Amino acid sequence: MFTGLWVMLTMALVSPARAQTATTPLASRTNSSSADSARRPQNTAPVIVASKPFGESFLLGEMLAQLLERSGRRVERKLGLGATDVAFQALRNNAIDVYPEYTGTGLVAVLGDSVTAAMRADPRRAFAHVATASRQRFGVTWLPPLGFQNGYAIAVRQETAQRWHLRTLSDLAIAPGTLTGGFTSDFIGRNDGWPGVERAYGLRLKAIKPLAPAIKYEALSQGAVDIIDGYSTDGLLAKYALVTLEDDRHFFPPYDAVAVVSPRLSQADPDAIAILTQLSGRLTEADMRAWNRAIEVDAEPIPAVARRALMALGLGDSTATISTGTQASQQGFWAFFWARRVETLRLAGEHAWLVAISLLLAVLVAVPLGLWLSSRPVVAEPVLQLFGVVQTVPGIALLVFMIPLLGIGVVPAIVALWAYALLPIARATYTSVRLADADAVAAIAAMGATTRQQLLWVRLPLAAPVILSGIRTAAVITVGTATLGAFIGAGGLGEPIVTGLGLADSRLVLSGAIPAAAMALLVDAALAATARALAPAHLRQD
Amino acid sequence: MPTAVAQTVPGRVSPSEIARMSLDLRVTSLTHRYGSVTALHDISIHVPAGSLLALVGESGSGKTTLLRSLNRTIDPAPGCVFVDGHDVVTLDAVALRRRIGYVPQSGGLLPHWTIGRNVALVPTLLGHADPLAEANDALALCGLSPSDFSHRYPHQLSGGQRQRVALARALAAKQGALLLDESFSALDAISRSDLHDAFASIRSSLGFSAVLVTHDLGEAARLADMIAVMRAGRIEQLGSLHELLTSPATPYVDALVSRARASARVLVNA
Repeated sequence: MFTGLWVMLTMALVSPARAQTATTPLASRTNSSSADSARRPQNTAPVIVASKPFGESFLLGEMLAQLLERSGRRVERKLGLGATDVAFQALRNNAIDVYPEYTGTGLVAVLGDSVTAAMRADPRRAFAHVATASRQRFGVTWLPPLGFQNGYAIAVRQETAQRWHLRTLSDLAIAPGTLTGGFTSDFIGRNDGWPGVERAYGLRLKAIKPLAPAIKYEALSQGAVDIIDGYSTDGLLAKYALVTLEDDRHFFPPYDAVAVVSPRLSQADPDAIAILTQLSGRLTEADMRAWNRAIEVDAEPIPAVARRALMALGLGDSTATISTGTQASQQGFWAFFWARRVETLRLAGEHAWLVAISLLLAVLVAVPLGLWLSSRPVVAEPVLQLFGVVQTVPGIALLVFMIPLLGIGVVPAIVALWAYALLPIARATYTSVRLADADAVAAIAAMGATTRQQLLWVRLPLAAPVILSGIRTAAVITVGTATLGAFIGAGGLGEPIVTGLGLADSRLVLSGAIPAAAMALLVDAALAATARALAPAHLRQD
Repeated sequence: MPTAVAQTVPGRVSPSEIARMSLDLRVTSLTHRYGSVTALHDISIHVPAGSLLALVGESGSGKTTLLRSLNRTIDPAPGCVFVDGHDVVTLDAVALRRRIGYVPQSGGLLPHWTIGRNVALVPTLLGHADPLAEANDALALCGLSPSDFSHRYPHQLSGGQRQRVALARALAAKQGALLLDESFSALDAISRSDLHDAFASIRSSLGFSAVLVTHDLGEAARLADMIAVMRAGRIEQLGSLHELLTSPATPYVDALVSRARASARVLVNA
């Protein structure tokens, strides 16, 4: 029973079609208008539906996907992509076709435009601006809004609200320097986040703690923080009986939910646009809160909730059975973990594949490069420093940079993991080969060993343990970093982690994190054994 | 000399073979610079086949540079190096090096190779049929029982034993000349003395030519036919031990000789 529910959930997140596109560079989808559509008949190209990694976005993405499937179209799901920058980059480059976005986010995070008073007062003006500017700058289409807003909801516990008589954000000025904020790092940093709120309302907090979205509500209810940034349709607002403070000075821009469509889809399939538009204006904030709650609090499978929602709107498929997954939320961790074992194994396979390919490519490049550099120390330092710079680029940023070139999916993930693995292997090779017993090398060179023999007989064998330790370091890093692949739809054990973080489901997070940690240990042990087997003979004696 | 050969390795090397094997080494007007530093100034030496020339001097005197020019580890220019009458720049450097043994101060053995494999290096490089058999002969010649040593690794041996292995490696392919770069300097006094005796005996049996770099005049006196005293890239005096002792050509040679005499006298009078 539980297995069934979770397989349904994960089937929705990981469509079978993914495996197929996983091996074809998604970059081939970019600039689809000419070459791509000529090569591939349009009726066979699946529509790629994506979402950002939080509950409501998963749900809206799933609803859009089911609507398209009902029309007989092939749909590929890439739900839970990194964040706004990953998803929007992927969309404008035609690596995905449609995902749910919010007008305020489009204004501030995508366009970087200032929010006028007129836009704050009238959500329709905000939408008009975002839609026009996005079409002009990126060719991206914003369909008519879905009908509800999901804006920032600054929330406090009921007791806090009663004690300080808080109803609006203005009221917060009454209690300066006594409350502790717990915000997502996004909200702490962005000008349309807390810094802006502070200025607009003249507020001051005792302290601000950066919190992961998944633990915000828990931290607030347990009193670790007093005030958090939520979203107005969060299911958890209701679960914890929190009070949201009204934005009485209209600081926040409107956040109307909208389906945004890629340049490719809007040109290639106008009928699909018409189908997606069926949802426009149909969703209310109250409905969304209820459905989000079903996902986030009751841990119901997203496909089932999406189906139920579409049925309620008269857009559903009556033959579908509806299950209520309440038991899943009561399952203990180990039972849950056991129920997911087949899925976990499949994801571990994907993960191992990502790691193996990128590590193999890194070894094939970094070891010869390290050898080449070992006789050219003047070139070596700049080259290795360049690799060091790559190492300092945050994983997500590297992935975002590559979307215009490689799209999303397995290929950019492998390229990124490969780039990260280069430095430890190249440096270990370079250093160890240079330092390998200079006297022995000089002696056999003086007696007529060729450069190649010096390398193969002395330098490499003596350097092997250090090179392998570099590979071990790279391998462990890669196993960990590969979880980021889930942010760009590359699959692997990062998938339940990303989904779990989005749904505040720690069991789901652990069901990815624990196997990933185990895999890191396993890879390390396997390479340690290899290192022992390849150790130079004299180190294996006595 | 021929009788000594017969006693050490009966029937193995005849006097005519010795003459054929050992190389005549000659350096004419060799100058060598490392950047702006001149390591060798217009050096000329001759090592007749079967003889041993010692290059004595302080570190930086140019003796190792001169040694390295003999197997083309550094290219002579300007100046010429002749091996058996052939200008080395006309010879293939790798092939040349396989004909000349080399014994560095540290031994320079490959730590991950057994003693047998280390000693078999040059026969292996030359593609000989049974390099390990040649290695075993060379080990025995250097006073190490092949059955005890050939399967062991360098780190399992004493310093003196390692230098014997390095010596065996340098002559395993019956090289016609040996280059010894402070080969005995790092050993304790007893091991060094034992190895001096062993080396003198091996040389008299095989008859190879040799150039020995050393800072120790006593060692040169014990092993060399001719001694070149070097200083700052120049040869101060080139002659027999007797010539150095009786008529030192420069104040430096005089000082070197008198210091060596003084330390020897202390031991003799004690």
